[in-house]
Amino acid sequence: MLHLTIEVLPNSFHFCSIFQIDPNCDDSACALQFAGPWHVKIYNSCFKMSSPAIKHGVLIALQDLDPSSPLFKQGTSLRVTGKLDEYSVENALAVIVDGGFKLKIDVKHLRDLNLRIGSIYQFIGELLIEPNDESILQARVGRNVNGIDLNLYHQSLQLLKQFQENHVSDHVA
Amino acid sequence: MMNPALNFHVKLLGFDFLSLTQQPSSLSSSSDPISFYRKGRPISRVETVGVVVSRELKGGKFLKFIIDDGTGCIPCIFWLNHLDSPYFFRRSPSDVQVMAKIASNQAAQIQLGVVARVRGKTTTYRGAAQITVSDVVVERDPNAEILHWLQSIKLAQSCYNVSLPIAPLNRCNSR
Repeated sequence: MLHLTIEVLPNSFHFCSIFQIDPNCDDSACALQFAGPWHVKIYNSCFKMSSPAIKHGVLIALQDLDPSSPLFKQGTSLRVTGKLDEYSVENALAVIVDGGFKLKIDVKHLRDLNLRIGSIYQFIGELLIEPNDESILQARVGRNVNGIDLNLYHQSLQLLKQFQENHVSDHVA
Repeated sequence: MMNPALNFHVKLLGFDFLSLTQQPSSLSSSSDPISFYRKGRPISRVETVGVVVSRELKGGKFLKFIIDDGTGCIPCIFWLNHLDSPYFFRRSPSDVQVMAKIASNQAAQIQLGVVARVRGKTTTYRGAAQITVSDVVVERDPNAEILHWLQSIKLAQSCYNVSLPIAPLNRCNSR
């Protein structure tokens, strides 16, 4: 049994996953997919994934994503929602806007997503903070959410966060 | 005392699912070596909704995927080995073929980035909780996930958090 460690360092945060690969396995139907900068595919190998090691994208409104936010950290996994305001195919960079607040999205890993100005999108990915405090979300997953009720979405986020806080405090108590 | 929470799918958010406690099963009739508890109440079947953020297919055997609902990542295993598994040997071959085809079609729809509604049993793999999927559907409505959040919160507050003796939980999910 071989132990293969795949370690990818996109910018300043780490992603590491360990796979066990059986060289004697002739199963050709194995396929592994991770979205994002650590996109890996393994074929013709038998493996067992030891840990998914994928963090959930914390739900956040663009207006709450400022340098004073505890989530404004290098490599934080976030889920953001907004209307597509700009999109450069050449640079694979998009800008979404919500309530007057904007965020750059690096979409180079989203190969199958059709981006249209004016449509509403949701992205999950990791935050990259540049020296000038400008932030870019490196998206690993994206989807069109045209038809979403954004008012309901933002109100529900508040309820969800309150519920989570109460749940955690109940566990601590 | 019979616990209704074992008999229907409990709608859980990711962080809530990941905080379930595990204990060796005390039920001699149970085929599962591990039982799951939420605030002291046993949980067997769960339902969750979220974005598929990882997908691993072993054709004809299983589809492993991860659901991210914004509060946690839930590992899911969807078995596709109906035609080989001894579990189905007693079933009619034609029924098993239909079941295999349905499962295969459902698995094909589970792609990165889609929002999926997953139902299944809580199980463990290498000590971590996961869902062994009984059925999974892709949600087309962009508000489906929001509705699931609100339903999960409402059910937790009005039913799942209610102390034993147990309220008629079977009625909770039909609200």
